[in-house]
Amino acid sequence: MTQHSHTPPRTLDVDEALDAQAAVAGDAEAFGRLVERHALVARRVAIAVVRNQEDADDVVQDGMLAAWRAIARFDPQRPFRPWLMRIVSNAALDALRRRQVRRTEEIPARAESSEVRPDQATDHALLRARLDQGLADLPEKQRVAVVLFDVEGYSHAEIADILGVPEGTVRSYVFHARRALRQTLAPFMEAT
Amino acid sequence: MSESPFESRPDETLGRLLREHLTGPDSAAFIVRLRRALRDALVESPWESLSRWSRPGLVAAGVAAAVLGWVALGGRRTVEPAAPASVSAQVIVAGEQTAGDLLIAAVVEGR
Repeated sequence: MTQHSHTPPRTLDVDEALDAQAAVAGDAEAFGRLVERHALVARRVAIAVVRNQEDADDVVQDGMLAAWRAIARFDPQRPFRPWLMRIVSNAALDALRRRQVRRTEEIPARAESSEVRPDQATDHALLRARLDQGLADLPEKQRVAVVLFDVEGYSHAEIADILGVPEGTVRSYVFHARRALRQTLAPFMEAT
Repeated sequence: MSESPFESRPDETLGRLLREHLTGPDSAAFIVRLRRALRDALVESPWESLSRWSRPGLVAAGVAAAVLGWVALGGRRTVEPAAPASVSAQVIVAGEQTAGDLLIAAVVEGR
């Protein structure tokens, strides 16, 4: 795996394996440490999927609780973070589907607009609006793949495990997501 | 950054922009809230404790009731004496009956 600047050092992997073993044995404190370690990654993935921070925070909380309830089924011989992130990303995808169904039922005539408004004049606001639009235009699994790969430094194999798709599909997701985002963000990427 | 599906390195520029965009406010406060919510959810209420034990408790009560019922029923069968037969019946069952036997039986039964 290519080590990214944000990838935790190896010693944390050992701590994580020990905490995961303890959590499987019912140690809630150990599980709390694991949650703390992965909470912000989970939050970014959830925000990328549901595109609403409050909903994302709820999703992370639900996902972590679901992980605790399922911890007895976790195999401590396997890496913990893809297992946890699979639960959180599934919770985010489920929440998004529920929200889409609710919106379709409640207000069918009005679609959410992610167009950049002319009054968003500052560069920062424009960048945020473009990122919002760029992410909104991507299929959800592509969002998860590009965030985990380019932001969090996960490997293609780990992302494949999380999304339940072949590794080649993950490469394709990342490739298409990057291409679309680079087009949307071109002026900002050239400037940086 | 080259555009290829075989590119195996993260795009640092894109990654930084996405990270800044997706990192929500008050990360530390978020973690505190999350841990508190988990702790609260992990602490069982008395009703949750009861409900967790209700199923095995019901099964155990059922088994105990079945065992008690079996013991009571079986015990009655072994301890309870057979219904006493009438004297005449005992005499009749006793074997060869003579006219005297029948007379005695009728007197005893008050006929």
